Amino acid sequence: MKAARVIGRVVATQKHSSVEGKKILMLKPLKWEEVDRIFQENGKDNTPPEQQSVVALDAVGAGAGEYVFYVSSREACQAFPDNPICHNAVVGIIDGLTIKE
Amino acid sequence: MFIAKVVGNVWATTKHSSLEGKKLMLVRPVHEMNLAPCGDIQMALDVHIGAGIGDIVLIIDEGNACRKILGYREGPTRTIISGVIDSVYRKNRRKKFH
Repeated sequence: MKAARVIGRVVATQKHSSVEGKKILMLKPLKWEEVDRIFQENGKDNTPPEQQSVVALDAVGAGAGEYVFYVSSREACQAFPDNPICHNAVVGIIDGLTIKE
Repeated sequence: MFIAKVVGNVWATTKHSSLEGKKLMLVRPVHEMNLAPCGDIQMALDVHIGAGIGDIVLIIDEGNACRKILGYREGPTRTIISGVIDSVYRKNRRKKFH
């Protein structure tokens, strides 16, 4: 599971029927160390994006600006009872974390 | 499967029902002999093992194996801690971790 920040929503009128009624989120993937630093400093995420943004279906009701974790690949569709077609699914909202290396 | 070091944990109130009651640990893949970091931190579930920060653990990063360990038929789970490693043998050398 990877960490990300919700940066927006995707709206699509024409889509596969299995995705109807699901919230589609834009995510900015973050390293866990960066999330830890942001939480410690109570700061805003201003890290330059290291990779392309990710589109994910929402299984928990995450909103814009929240820090979340998501699963990729085949397990993503199993976050929903009707197994829609998707490659990423948001499965939790990060409340806090500790990293000691 | 790979070897990793437990470096932290995450807490989350709002999460998918299949993650309820599971510990969410942060692990970093490491080299088996010199324990040098070999990749980015990942989040892994911990159900039966009870690994603590600093432990060298065995990670399974595959959905079907993970669901079997958890006893789920379906669930968005993929990465799980499946053991704490005591030692590794390689080229007649033995590395003990604790």
